[in-house]
Amino acid sequence: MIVVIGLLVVPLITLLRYSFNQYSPKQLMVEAFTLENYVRFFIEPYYQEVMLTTFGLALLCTVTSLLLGFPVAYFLARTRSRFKSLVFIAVLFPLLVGNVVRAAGWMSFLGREGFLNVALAKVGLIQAPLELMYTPYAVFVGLLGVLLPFMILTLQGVLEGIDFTLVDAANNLGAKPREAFRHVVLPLSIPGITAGAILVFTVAMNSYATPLLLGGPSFQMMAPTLYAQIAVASNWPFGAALAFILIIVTFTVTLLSTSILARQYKAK
Amino acid sequence: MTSSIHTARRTFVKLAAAAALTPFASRFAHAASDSVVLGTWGGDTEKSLSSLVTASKKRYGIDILLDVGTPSARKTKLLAQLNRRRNAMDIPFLVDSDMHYLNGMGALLTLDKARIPNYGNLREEFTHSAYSVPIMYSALILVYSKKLGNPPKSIKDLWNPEYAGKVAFTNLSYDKIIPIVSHAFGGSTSDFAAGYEALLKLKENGVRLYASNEAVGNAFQSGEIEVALMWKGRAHQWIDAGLPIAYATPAEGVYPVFFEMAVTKNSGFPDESQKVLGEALTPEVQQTMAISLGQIPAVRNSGLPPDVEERLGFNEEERKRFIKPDYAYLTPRLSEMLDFWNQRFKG
Repeated sequence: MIVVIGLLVVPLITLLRYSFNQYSPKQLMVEAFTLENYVRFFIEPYYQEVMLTTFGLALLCTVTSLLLGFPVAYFLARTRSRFKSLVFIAVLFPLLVGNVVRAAGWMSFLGREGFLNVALAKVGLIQAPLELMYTPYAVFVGLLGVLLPFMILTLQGVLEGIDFTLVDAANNLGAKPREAFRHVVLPLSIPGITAGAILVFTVAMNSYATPLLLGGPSFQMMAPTLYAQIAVASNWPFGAALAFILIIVTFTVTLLSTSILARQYKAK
Repeated sequence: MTSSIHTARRTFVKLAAAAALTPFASRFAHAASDSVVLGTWGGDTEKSLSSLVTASKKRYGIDILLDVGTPSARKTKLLAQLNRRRNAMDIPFLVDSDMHYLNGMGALLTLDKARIPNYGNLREEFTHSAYSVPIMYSALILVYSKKLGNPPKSIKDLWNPEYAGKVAFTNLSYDKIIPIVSHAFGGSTSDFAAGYEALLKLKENGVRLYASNEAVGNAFQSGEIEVALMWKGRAHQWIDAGLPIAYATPAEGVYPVFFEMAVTKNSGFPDESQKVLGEALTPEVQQTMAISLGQIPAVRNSGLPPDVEERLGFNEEERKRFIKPDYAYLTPRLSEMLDFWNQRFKG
């Protein structure tokens, strides 16, 4: 408890207090109690666009990782194959590598003279290198690479707890595999889907290194934008306000989606 | 009995923790008590500073610990420690405009030039600052593809429709590009209005932004761009690597950027730090840094071979026409410049 208060609550309260201060280029910030930093976010369309981009990409990552992760998690939960541990290690592998190292790997894979462009040119599919780096697609692929394991591991834990004799019972009663999945497996896996989606969405909303390194100068997400306000423009109050807006949006979306999914789970 | 077991267990835990932390604790204590901490860029800059680390140890017995990071992280660290009794960084290594900003915030010590050995080596025109010592400098020049029939001669030429969509900037150079363009378009480095307006016109023509200098080099290689504003040293590195480019000093003059060292006001080692600043002005250290970084020594007696000096540097005539930065105007506008660049120019 003391650790949480010392390392999380106190810095957050300090940051919250800063967000109400006034920016001063000559004194860094002036102690005040103003809402101007929050108002600025709402009157400057640029920051709303950055938030929308962040939100859209986080949502896309969440949905895609769910669609791609569910079959893998299902396989891991049900398989008796001796290759299960190998698949498990492969899933876990991206989490063993640091953010920056992983981004550097993507840079050498997607760059103009990267592996992908060279391979496509070698087989004659392209004449000139494709512009893959410094695009929103590069950020999406980079984020997906690290978020997918979170989704798979969370889903696998829940899927392993499901009593699959219920699926057998449904099949015996004449349900087709698709119907058994829809009416038995899916409802029972909603807690895993909720937890995985929250985890993936939160990490994607707050991602910093991947958009910074793979997105290039024209692609902006919230975490690099607020860091630039604090560290480059030295506008700490506005940077702090952006940080709190990001926290509030992430928290609200998480809370809403959890309550909607929980209600659906109860209804089933 | 129970109590003594508890006591013994607590003692054991304490001793075990102390033993486990000893190597780290001693390292931190050593760093905090004996070493001068110098905040710097990583990569080639960090490598080139090994000459300063070795020379300072040899001449003065001063240990230097390099704190590697981005300039923005360095500035933020210094500002966050303004009111602490002792700053964790003794010597920041930053560009001139950042130093002016930090000095305005009260983060830097007013230097006692008598305590800085070799201070007299500095070119006289570079001895303007009371709080920092220029170590090297460089400037953005016009770099262009040799294929161009009509190469640019001035900053204004970048607006020539012939180059539309083929002009490149590095994203992080915005705080130099805005004053340069302002000066070129009839404003001055004390009024950015003309620069902002001109840059928006260039955006309409089509301009390409790259995340790094290396990416600009790749774009020249692929023929994606034909003209760029780039550091002179970097242009030479590319020419040496066989890139078909040439360069020109802009007709309007060049805007020098100084790479400076200073001492933090709350440094625990003000005297030692000033000695290190002086050591950075010795010909040996200046030569090493100039050659490995492609930047120009700030001293008169660097002893660089004349051909290298000519390739990297600017002649007396060009130096006389340096565009003078207005730090007092620029530094309070850092936030405004970033907003213009991100929202209006890039957006």
